[in-house]
Amino acid sequence: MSGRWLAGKVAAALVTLAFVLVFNFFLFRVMGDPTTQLARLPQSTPEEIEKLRADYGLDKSVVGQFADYVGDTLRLDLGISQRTRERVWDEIATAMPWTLLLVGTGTLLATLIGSWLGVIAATRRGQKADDGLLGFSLFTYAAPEYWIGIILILVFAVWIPVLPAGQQVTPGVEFSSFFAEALDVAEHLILPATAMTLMLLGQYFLIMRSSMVDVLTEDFITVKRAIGLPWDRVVRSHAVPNALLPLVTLSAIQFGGVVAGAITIETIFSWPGLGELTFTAINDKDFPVLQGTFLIFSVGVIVANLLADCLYFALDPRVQSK
Amino acid sequence: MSGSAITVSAVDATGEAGERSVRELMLGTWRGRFGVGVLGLFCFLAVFGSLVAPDDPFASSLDVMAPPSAEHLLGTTEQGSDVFSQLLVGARVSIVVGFAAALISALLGSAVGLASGYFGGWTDRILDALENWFLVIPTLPLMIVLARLLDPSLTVLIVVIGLTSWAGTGRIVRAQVLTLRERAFVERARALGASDTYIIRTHILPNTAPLIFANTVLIVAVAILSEAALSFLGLGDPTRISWGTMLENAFESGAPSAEAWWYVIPPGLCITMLVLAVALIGFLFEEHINPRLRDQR
Amino acid sequence: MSALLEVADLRVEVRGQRIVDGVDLTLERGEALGLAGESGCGKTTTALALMKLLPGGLTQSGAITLRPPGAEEPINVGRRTEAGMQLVRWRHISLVFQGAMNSLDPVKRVEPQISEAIHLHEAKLRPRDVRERVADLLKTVGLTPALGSRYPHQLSGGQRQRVMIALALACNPSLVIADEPTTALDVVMQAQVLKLLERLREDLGLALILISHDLGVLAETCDRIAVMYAGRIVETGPVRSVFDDPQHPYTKRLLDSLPVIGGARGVAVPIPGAPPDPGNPPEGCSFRPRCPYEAERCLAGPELREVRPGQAAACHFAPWSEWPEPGAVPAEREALP
Repeated sequence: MSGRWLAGKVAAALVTLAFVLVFNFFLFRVMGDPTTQLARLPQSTPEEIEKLRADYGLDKSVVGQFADYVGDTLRLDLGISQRTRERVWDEIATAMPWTLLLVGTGTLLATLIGSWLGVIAATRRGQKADDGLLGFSLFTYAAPEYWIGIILILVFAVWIPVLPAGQQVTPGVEFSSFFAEALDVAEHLILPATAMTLMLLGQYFLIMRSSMVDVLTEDFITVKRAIGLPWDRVVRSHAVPNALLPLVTLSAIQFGGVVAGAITIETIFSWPGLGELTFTAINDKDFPVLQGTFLIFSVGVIVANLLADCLYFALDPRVQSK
Repeated sequence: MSGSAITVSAVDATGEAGERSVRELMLGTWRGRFGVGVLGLFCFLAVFGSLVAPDDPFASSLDVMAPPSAEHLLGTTEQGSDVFSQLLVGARVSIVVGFAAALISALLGSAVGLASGYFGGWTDRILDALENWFLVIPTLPLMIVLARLLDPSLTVLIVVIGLTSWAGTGRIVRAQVLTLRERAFVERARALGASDTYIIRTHILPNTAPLIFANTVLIVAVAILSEAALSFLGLGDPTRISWGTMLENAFESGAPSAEAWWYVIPPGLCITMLVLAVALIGFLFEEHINPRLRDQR
Repeated sequence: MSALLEVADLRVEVRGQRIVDGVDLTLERGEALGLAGESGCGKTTTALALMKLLPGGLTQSGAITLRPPGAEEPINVGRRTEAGMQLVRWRHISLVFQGAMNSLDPVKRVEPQISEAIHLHEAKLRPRDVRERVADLLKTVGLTPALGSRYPHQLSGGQRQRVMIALALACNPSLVIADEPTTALDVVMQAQVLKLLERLREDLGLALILISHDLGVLAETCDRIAVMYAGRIVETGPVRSVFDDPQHPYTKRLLDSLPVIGGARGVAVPIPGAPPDPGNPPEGCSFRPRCPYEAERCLAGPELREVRPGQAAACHFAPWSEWPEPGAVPAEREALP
């Protein structure tokens, strides 16, 4: 019975994914029939063009072509990059771990620090600490993350050259061990992850603060005080766990923003992830790659939403027994 | 960050928003004064920027990537153009795209939310599903794909941003219309034989308009950030100067390594200030019309 | 002399407005005191003040002294710090809140929320003993111990209220304050909870402060009753005496507004007007604007004084042996000091 709620969410996720495929497919068709480009090849006879059309399955109906497209996608055949002539999927697969590393680190830090600051602000509502934190979070919301990234480079890679200005490893260096290489990557990760964390910090802070403020007005908080619990334990054991629930659902709304940040921050730092791939594809007008990354980003956000739903399900007993 | 608006506004530092009139809020609080002042300044520049600018922002010179001087208040770009002039002129794109895209988004979102909430049934199911789709899908990649299909221009930016940002408004409007639809005065009007158009016009819209307005102001902030991001990524109008394209040019020409802080800091600062101003105004409106937010003091 | 609870001149203010304006109370061991009054008269605030649980922004003053059985020294609640209060709360005085809808942490099961209180005040108990105690407590309030492993949302309203009572008893306090314990319940549940409270009083020798706007509930369960109006106590006395022979016009009007089964047919008479705005209290007697007998004298605050044996009222014209027509106060009363 409780699994039904979760199953519903999975079904909804699949439907959303289906629409993404439909959208991508029609986008491709808007580009026009590729055989018109083939027709520009010298010495192509009408018969050869017809044969090519049949090979590409372009002589089938729209539904037929859509079925082909879905089939290809599920087999991870996302086309060929116009620039590198590599398989789009291969490029995506190489780039994905780097994006996951950056986004994962940034989100983790932003959630931890943001939530902690949110609890502080909520328990000091109206005081200077609260006002200061609110102002800070508003600033990080308004400031473009790539601008923050550029400033970070300026300060920490140029003026005080302690950190690398870009890329994921120091080029041209041979590493003695995996550990040494990992350390080098970590060093390169610092600035981009900082930019990402700063970008997301404000939102997690605001959500946690608002959630805590709501929870602190509940009756059971007064009851916990009444039984003699010291205030910090009331906050830690009873207020925070209840405040986490809205945090999980509300932060799911921000996942689109995480993707946007990934694209711009990777561009600034030449971080070899999906964002950098997208940026290069924009400049090259490499549509297969752009569609591929759009698809992967969408899948990523949908999966992240589903994970958030699962997390919520695990945390809230009221949902478990529905 | 360019994808989504803050849906939780908690910036009521002094708890004064609820009881005062809009005018009092805008002119009486420091948030209001800052917001109106900065926004006013940039709107002025949007109109008169090119007249006020000391140099032709497009004019190149041999004085490349030069630091600030008497001649160039904020130094020069990699082409030798005057940064300060570019900054003043760049306001136009942000303001125009921000407001125009938000307007389209508001119209689209309101129409969908209205139809969805009022008529219910299959209309609601389809439109709501559409709305949820737009809410889940990451906005920037969507905007990138759409913008890249077409030749970049101001209009393309406005249309693309407008077409991808409406879902937030749609959801708020739909929720409000659903509540209103069940209220007594609507049922009474229907019992008296009023047409749907009449009910929408006289009962639904006046009660929803303030909500739409407050929300749209926040969408302006999102639109400005979206334009800046798209321009930064190279999808901006190449015939115009915007703060986003300034950052793009700065980055691509190696301004950070050249320590050209005068080129790198001002455009981003302007974006931040403008977005801050709009957001503060938007939050004030929101608090004014929403009593519950008022009590978050 | 050795009353369990003594409250002298309790005042609570917020933003300069007086919510509780000089309340005196005494409670003996094992006694049940009813605190009656309209919504907003300060009953709940008084209860919270007794445990120093007022939210920030409210200031309280006044002497509150607790003499629980077995305590060597009287506990001066008024002077205790927050850390000091944490030792007193629940161990000597506990509270059953109004509306048990949200009085329990929704993401934790029932049993740990009761054992949490026990652990706080009796840290040396073994986990097994604590669990046993929780099971006993649940049985005492008429619930099966198995309910302890459920979440609050899985219990009915009546069950939740009983859990709150079980929680209130967890550390064997000598005084329990019950704030509108039956308001959210239907009549059948109401009767059960009241019977339960009575039984607990008998079995455990509990002193009880029962807060309610429902005079019927108080009549059944309490020994004495104190009537509150606009932050002040206007009458106290044994329950039967106050009900049969009220000595304050407000009490009289309150009783008049109760419909009586089997009594004369007629429309129940409400009290005209509304309670005063705490920001703008009336001069002298706070009931003056709504009192049918108000006179010139009433501009100077009447004090709570004994007017019958064991019964005190804050009215210049008490003791009342009969209730004249509105406006017609006997001339000789004008001359009373």
